[in-house]
Amino acid sequence: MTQSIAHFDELAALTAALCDGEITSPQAQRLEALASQSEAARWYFLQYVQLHGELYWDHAAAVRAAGVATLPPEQTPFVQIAPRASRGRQTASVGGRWRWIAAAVAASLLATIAWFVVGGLLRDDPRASAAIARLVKTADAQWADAEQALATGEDLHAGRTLDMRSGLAEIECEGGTRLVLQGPTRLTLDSAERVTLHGGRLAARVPPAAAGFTVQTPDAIVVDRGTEFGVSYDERGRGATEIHVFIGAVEVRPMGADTVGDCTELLAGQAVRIATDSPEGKLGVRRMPAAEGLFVRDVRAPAAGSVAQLRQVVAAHPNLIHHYTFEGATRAERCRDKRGDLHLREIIMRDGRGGGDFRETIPGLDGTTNAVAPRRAEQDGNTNGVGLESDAAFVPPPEMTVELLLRFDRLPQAEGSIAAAVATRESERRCGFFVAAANGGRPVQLLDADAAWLEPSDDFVFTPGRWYYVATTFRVEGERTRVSTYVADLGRRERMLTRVVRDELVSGAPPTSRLGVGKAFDDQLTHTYPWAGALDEVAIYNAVLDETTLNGHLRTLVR
Amino acid sequence: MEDRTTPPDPARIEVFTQLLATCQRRVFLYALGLLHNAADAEEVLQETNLVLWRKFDQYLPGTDFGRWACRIAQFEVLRFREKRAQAQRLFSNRFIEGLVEAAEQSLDQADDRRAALAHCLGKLRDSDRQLIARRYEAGATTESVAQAFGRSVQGTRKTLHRIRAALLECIERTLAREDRA
Repeated sequence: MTQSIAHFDELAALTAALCDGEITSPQAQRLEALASQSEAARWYFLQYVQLHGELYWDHAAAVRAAGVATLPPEQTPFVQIAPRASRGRQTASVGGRWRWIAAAVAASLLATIAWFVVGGLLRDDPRASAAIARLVKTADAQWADAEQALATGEDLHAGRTLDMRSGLAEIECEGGTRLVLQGPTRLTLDSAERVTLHGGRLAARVPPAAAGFTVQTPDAIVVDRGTEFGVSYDERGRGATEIHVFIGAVEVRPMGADTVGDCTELLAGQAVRIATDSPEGKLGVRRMPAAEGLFVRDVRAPAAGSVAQLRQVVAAHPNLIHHYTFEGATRAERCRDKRGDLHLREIIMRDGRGGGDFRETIPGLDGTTNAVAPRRAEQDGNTNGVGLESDAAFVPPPEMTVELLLRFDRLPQAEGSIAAAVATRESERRCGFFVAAANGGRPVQLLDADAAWLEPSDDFVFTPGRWYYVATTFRVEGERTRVSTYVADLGRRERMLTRVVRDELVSGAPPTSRLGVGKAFDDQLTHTYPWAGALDEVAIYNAVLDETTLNGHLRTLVR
Repeated sequence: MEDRTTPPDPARIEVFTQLLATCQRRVFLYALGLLHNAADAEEVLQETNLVLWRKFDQYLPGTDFGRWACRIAQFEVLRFREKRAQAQRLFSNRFIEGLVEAAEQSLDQADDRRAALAHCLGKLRDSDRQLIARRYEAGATTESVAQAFGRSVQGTRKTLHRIRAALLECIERTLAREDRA
């Protein structure tokens, strides 16, 4: 019995895009809705996909089978149980071709075949085809599937999908193109001249001889013209592709729901963001200056120390209660408290409303890890600060250390603005600015809104664009709190902490409220400006860590 | 579970080999119907093959090996989707669950549909057949086909879709005729 096929024009077009690997997330949502409308629609969808599969199997897979069939039986590995190229009305009987394989099994290949079978190598051996690329360098690379972790120097074959949770990996393709993948990134190596970026970020360096190298994302096709560029695909929401050109030029072709957009040429210093901005899949294309800082373009093993080492030391500390490393394949994972249950979520700092667009994965201090970068996000034609806030209330312990890495890029735009890296706020008066910057980039604390900001005793100021290690300790003594702050300029590779605030007794105590990371305020304490820069490795301990311990943490970064 | 320290029985391997060869396409299509990506479906096929071997002692001789293989493939598909981050899944679990029943039903028609496809491919214009053949070459994409035929990518995409839709209609007509016969 057959099922009737009505005319499903839109369903069919979207299924075609799915089969050709060109579907976008919103298109997929639409496709699911259409295919779920009726049994007939679901059946049509399935038959279209399976027709695609039949054609794929007959053509693509049969090519591989044909290659094997030319080998004499004794060289034919058991793994090559491959599709038949025949198309006729054949029942699934065992053909002669399989009989000689079976004969070979029974005869001379027992040991080999047993090894294949027992060793679990029934799968097609990818090494049977020529490598198209090689993994040349990694730095703290963590792969999604530990069993399929890649080793430096490993050959990579067409069709291989790399799923890297964190760290960096550099791949050299045949032809000389070099790709630096920055975790979390998922990428398929289609050929030596083409890759598909499913999510994440890569930087490509393409020699003139390999011009034409192509990166495809769900929103765009990027064709190199002999250059160096970066491509990112953010899977959140409806998805967004960014292309930043560092040297030379690329051609960018947006991919709409049913049409392909006009080709755009991007030159050095230029960038473009392509995002689906309507449920119908219409693409919006916005030009902007290239931001080289978003991409790691070279994998270098950390010369001395690394954020990863700091993380290990911090994670092993018995007094650690909350730990935000901002690593992970998903947004939820990146916002997860790696030690406790005080997980973070994105929040737009306008009336405390949540949601928003948070660029949380930018290169961290040494490029092997990710940091978060709160920023002003576009919403309803305005820009609003976006930061992170805990789902539940944070109850500060009476003895506490807040430790983090931070980069302070510029001052808030408004006079008197405060940029808070880590803070709580219970009421207008009871606030907890544990690590903040004010007054020209000075590290400050405040636990009582009626009191004065606690500033360093010297003239210390964060130098814009430079990474710092910062730790502040709090010990509640009645209605007051004793505070110390330590800093080290990592850009200058300082190996010893400077105690810029020494056992100062201030009014107030850290209040209980949601924990804000990267939130900031103007002089009216309105949620307005986000932390201007990057934050990483936020750790909170239920103890006052001493200077020796904190210096030990610093030395995992700078040796 | 097979003892990994001793070689398996050659006769058992032969039986398994023969049965496995009969169901590869079927399992691939079944997995593709639920995963919608050929590379993913191939990966699941490979994993399924391994599980089939490990569980071969649970197979009842004389029963439909392909159907048993597809049941195992169904679990492998779910495992594959679980391993993949939610953000990377195009479709909801609910939708996939709805497809499972249709995919099982489709198994019954697999051989008839394949025969009908062969018939319908024979009815295509030469140029359309060449386009399809080129599109399904290993590593081919719509862009590479467009380049090879000197056409626009958009035009090639539309043509490929038109051919596939026509094949699908032809298959349905062919099967409907056979039903009436």
